[in-house]
Amino acid sequence: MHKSHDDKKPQSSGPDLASQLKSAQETILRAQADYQNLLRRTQEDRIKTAKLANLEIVLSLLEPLDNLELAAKQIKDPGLDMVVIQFNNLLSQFGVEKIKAEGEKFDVNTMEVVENLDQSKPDIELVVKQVRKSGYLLNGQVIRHAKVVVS
Amino acid sequence: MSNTGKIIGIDLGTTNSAVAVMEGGSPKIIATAEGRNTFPSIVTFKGDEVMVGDTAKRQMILNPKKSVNSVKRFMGRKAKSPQVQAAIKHVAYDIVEGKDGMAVVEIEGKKYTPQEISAKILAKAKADAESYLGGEVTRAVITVPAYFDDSQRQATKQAGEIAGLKVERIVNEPTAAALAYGLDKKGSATIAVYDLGGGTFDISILEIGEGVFEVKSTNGDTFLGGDDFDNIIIEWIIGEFKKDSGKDLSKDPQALQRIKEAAEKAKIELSSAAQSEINQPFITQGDNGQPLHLTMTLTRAKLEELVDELIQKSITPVKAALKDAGVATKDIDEVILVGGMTRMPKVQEVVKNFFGKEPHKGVNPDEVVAIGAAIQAGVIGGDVHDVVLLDVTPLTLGLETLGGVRTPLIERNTTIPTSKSQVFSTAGDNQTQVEINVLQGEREMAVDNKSLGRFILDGIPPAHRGMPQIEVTFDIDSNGILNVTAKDKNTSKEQKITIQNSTNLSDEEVEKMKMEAEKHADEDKRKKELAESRNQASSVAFELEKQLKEYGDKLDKKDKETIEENVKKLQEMAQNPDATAEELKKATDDTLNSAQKIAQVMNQQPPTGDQKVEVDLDKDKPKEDKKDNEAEEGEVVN
Repeated sequence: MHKSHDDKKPQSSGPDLASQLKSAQETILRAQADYQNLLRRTQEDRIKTAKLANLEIVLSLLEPLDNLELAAKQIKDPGLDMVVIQFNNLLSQFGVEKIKAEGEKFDVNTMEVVENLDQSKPDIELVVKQVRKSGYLLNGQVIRHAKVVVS
Repeated sequence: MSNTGKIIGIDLGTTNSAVAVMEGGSPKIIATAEGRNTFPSIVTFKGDEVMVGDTAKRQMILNPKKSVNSVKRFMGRKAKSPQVQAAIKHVAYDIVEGKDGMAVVEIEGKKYTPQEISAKILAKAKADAESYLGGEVTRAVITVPAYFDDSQRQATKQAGEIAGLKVERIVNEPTAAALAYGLDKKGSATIAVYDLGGGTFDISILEIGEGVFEVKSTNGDTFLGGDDFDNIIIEWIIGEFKKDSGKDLSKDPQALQRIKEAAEKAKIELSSAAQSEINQPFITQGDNGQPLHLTMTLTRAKLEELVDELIQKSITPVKAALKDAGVATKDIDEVILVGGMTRMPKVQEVVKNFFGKEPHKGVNPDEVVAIGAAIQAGVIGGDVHDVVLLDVTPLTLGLETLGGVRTPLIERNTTIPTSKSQVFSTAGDNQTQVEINVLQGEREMAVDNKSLGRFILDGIPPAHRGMPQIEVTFDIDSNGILNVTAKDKNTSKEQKITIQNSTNLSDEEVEKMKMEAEKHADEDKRKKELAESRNQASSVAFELEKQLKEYGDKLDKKDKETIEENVKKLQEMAQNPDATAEELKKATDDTLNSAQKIAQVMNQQPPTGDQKVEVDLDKDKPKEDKKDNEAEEGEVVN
């Protein structure tokens, strides 16, 4: 009794089994690839989730903060100023940082242009004249682009 | 980068685009580099650089003549055609006549065909997909409106080629939507696809038969979309404010921008709430320089009143499409909603009332076309022949361990085929065999679960309890056949049992067992805790007894007596069926504390050798070994 040499060689109708085998092997590879991708992505997602925890809360808190800062601009009141400072301090504890925009060069990664006061100037030279709506970063990632007026 | 071999599905929209791919048998939207599921179909030329998507949108205002949006309106069309002439009025960049009289974009004297512009959008979709999949992507399925003619379809295919993609197929958008809802499995049906997007409205009547879709008619309004709804709300806000304060905010760009955002936010909120507060303090200043605040409430009822005319505007083309297709509303079997604006309850209501049936809306309306394109891509690419639905094991599988506890190996709802291993050990010294009792169920105590089978692995060389390493492997194949193997890692001796039909349970049986488990959850938890604390108590008492025998004479006589007494009490308590978990835990801790002295003595000299002590403690059951460096939980994947 002897053992067949190549156990993997299909015994019967050559092409049919061979192509089935090939197809099955393909499927296995794809399934494994999908799995590996899933693992990699799950890991990346986990890191992202950790970094952007509280994103929803932070974003909604920015709205009343916008209005509070508006109020502080128009109403000169030391008490009101205190509240604004307190609010901002609290946010920075959670990794929130305001995007430095006023006076800076326009940066499309952190800003959005809402008005251009000097159409003739080349883009490279445009500088932020006014910040209509502040932009913010959460743990280094832009969560709200600053809306700016440039010239 | 190696080729992924995957075909991606791209929804190349007028206002927004999206890309999806089949993974593991189901379609998945691929997020852009910016982390969103869709991106604006905007291309901006900035010197040598070309920006696409969100980055392009954020600086559109800087270069309105160099920012190309809605280029789809010009794809494959002649410059002089009425559609192009109408669309030119809506864009800031220049459209001129190019080769063969086709409409082309002109930017700073240079001409670009709409294909070349769209290619930039497709290139971004390609890049995002490659980043997601971790490999090269060279093939795609791209969707187009059902009314696109040959020239427009060719142009779209060209755009793909310019972007480095082999366009395997051009699919109609309504067909893609129907695929996303699995309507191709319905046999034969007449389907209406109502697509209300950002800037355009399309209605298509399709017929499906034997897996083949046919477009019976199309109609729509190329300038009706979500933007129009926003504008109506903005107008209303400005109007109300003017009534109250006399000030016209439309002249104030700063206020206008805030109102625009507030309007969009209110529109979205009103899809789930009955009213929305629009609050924008310090919106402007009065004549005396005093601050003015904008504060108003928009109810859903009012919103619906405001947009009613717009929604009715969409019904006219629907009627025309039905007429062209030669069908009546009652002949429509399925209705599908596509496009973000269809999230509005009023839109859904109007559509439902018109067709007299509930429209399909489960899939995200912004993503449904891309999802459908991915499904088609999967069919072409061979990812999805017949979707392989893998079985799951309906109930948890495990075995019985010390104290009558059930230790799980494979959790319920684990997809099969699968394999899981865990190392166990003996409960008593010189235990030469272990019994494996295979259990199925959700209860914590072995006796409350179903025993699927038992077997014994013997021939374990005598050793201290906890020393032998018995690796138990549960393996379920794709047919649900469970093989349980127990192997002594030292001797390589193994035994196994094969259990058929471990996944063959009726849904009722499974439900019943789950409910029983839930009902008894607290009780089971307590029983398990009790068993575990009892095990622990016995274990500690046993160990200490051994240590006393070995080092006892090195101890102070008084100390020795105290420890002996504690150990004896602990042993008694462990045997006492009435002892509670708390009592056992406390007694164990106290005994351990009092036995510190032994540890001190132990550390001063090496151990003298094995003591043979016979203890009868669930002798044949394997002990769950928690020592980190010895018992490793391993997942065996062959």
